[in-house]
Amino acid sequence: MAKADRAKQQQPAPTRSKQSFLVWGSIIFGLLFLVALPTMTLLLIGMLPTIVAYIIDRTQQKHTAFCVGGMNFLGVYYPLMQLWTGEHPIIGVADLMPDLVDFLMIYGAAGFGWLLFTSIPPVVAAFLTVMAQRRVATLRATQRHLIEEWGDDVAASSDEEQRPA
Amino acid sequence: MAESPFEMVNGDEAPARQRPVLLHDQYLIYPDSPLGDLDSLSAKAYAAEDRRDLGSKLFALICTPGLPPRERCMSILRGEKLPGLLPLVDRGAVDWPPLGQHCMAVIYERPLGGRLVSLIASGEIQVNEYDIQSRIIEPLAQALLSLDTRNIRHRSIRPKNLFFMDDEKEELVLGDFMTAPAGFDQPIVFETIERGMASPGGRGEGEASEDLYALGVTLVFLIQGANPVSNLNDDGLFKSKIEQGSYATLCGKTRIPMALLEPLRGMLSDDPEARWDLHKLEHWIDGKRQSPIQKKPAVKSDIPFSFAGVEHNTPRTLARSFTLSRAEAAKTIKEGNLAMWLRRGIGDTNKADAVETTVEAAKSRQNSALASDEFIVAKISIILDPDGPIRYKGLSFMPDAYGPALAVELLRRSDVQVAAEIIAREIPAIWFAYQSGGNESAKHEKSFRQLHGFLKIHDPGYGIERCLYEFNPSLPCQSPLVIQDYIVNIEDLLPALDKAANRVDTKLKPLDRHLVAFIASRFEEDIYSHLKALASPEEETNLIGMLNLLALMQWHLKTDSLYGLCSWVGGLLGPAINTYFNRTTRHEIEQEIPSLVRQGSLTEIFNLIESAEKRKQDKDGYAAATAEFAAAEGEIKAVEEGQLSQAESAIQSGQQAAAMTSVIIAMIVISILLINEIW
Repeated sequence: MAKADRAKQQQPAPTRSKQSFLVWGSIIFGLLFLVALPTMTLLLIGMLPTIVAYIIDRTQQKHTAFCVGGMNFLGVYYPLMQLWTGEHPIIGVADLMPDLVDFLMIYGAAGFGWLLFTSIPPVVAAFLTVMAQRRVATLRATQRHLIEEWGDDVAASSDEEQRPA
Repeated sequence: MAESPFEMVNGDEAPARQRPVLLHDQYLIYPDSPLGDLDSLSAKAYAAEDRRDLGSKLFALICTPGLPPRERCMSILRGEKLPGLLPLVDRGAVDWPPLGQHCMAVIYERPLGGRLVSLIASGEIQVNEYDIQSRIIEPLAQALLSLDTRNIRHRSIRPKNLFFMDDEKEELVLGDFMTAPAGFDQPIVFETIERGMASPGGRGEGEASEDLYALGVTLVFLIQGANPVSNLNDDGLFKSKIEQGSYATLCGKTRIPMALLEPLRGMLSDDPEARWDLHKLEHWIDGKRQSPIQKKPAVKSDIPFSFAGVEHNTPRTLARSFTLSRAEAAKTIKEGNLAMWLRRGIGDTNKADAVETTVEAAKSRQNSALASDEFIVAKISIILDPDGPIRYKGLSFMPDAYGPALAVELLRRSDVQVAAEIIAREIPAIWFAYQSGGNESAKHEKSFRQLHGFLKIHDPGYGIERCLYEFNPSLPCQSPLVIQDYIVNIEDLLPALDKAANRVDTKLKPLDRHLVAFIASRFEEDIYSHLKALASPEEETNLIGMLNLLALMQWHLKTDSLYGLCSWVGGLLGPAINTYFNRTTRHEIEQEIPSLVRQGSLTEIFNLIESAEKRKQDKDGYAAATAEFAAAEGEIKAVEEGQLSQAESAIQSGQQAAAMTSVIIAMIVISILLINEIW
């Protein structure tokens, strides 16, 4: 009983920390917007595919977000560097928006991230299956050799050993 | 063992003359020269000669195969020349062509004067009352004394077994007595009442007084010149001997010389305690008078007991009659008149009570073997005649002659069931319970207890076969595999089996129940564990036990190489080799056996099959292989069971790999761009 009570008491803790994380995140995000509006605008618009991926990925590991995010950030990196190095001066709100090429580059990179995310897992799965089958074949060969050397009783004895009492 | 130096010619046309058979590389026995006048009842006589002394006059007696000769007597008397006894020169088994098998041959010096009765019949010699003492009694008494000092009984004294050794017919000797069990060849008239009632094989050696009784009967025959009781059949003879006494039966109607009255009364006394012994006879020969024998009247009833149409006045004749008509006897016994007759007619309340107790016990234990008619009759016969033989289902024997009786049963009927039942039902114990005791009696009782122990165990090496060989030290092994080789000594067994390998079906095992029992009784080493293995129902254990026993024998008896037997045994060892788990080891053993067969060593084959180190390696290897197989099986199962969930985990792994790939590519490219920007 005591254990169950303790568990109940501990349950609200993550929700609270999540809430505080959101609060603190929003504050920091707001402050960053005030301090570095162009950068934050670029990142917000450029990293939109990653944000979407983060939202739709219900797994805890958020592999989709990482996969899309990695490539998406690579796409954002160039306009971001241009922004920071002042090669592209911001005159109005419209200047805060990346141009078409940048958009293509940013979302193309994010799309490549999606492509990676959809293409690599089947390849890896197929590879792991082949590895397992190969291992089973090796083990079967070992067993055949043991039977050839020691007779069928080896298998019978192992069956007996594995049989529950 | 001796062997024939010549092969018999097989085929329809037998050679006109058979080649002589060689015994011990010294004595030649001529199968085509029978000497009918020297035959004994159980052994045929043939001419023989000594190759090293061609001047010696010899003859050979060829024993009946299966009939145990008296080996102990032969081993003691071989080469000895005792006064009054036919000298035994040698003996041994020979391959005897007329019978097509090995037989015991006994070589004697030839009695040149011939058989006494033949000489009397032809009138060449006359025995009168004046010279009977010096010519007959004295030499025979001398022979019996010599035998007595060697603890040997002759048990074959009769007129037809007396010979003159010399041409002058001066030296009278007793003929052969060793080619058959004690008393086997004796007509009933020469046997005491109790031993005469036993089967020929079951008469036993008895005491010296048994010989003196036969000597007394022999003297009566010689004095009268004929059989004085030739008009009596066996039943009449027994009835007369029991009711009138032996002396009255044999001498009643004839004139006996005064000088011989005293010894004949003494020797023919039916009371074993009162019967003359050799010292009394010796004293009489020396001229010393003995106290006269008081004739003890037989216990008789005035009221006869009628059974099987015959009226009996003594329990002894009735006991004999009961054992001859057992079904009728059992009916009579159960009617209850017997106890009454014993009580009122004989006046023996002890016997009457014992009969009543037996009948009551049988009624209370119906359907038990101990309540069977045969058992009741056997027990009642012991109660009525405790001095008589043990009689059961037609087999009767004195307790000291169980062994020969068993051997004769085997020889004549090939069935030892009755003899085995006697031991199993402990009938000898009943017989001993009615005896007054004594050292001999205790010794025999102990032997029967031992036999009962053997019989209770049905494994090879025990049972009735063991009893047969334990009680017949001179009986050859009766196994069909070696019976024709006449194997008496354990040393000859393996060579005989080696020879048998060439003629028998080698799919059969070289050890059967007779062979194992023979080995168990004649081989001096402790083979208890081997017998246990031979009794195992598992074929491989049985085979290893057999090989182990044969190898032990070869090693212990220092037998030469046994190529045939090794090949025979080697061909049977498949199941034993298969007890090894490792197939390579099995193959190696199978490959190696032929080379060991060529060495003729059973010990080497055994060491190959049953090496402790090899067994341990095999056992350990098998355990390791089993564990390895089980581990592999477990892993396979784990992999196969994980296949379903693995698809999901593989996808997860792929997603992780994709994420990592993406991040790493991004980091690398950014790093390159950053470095490029800085430079």
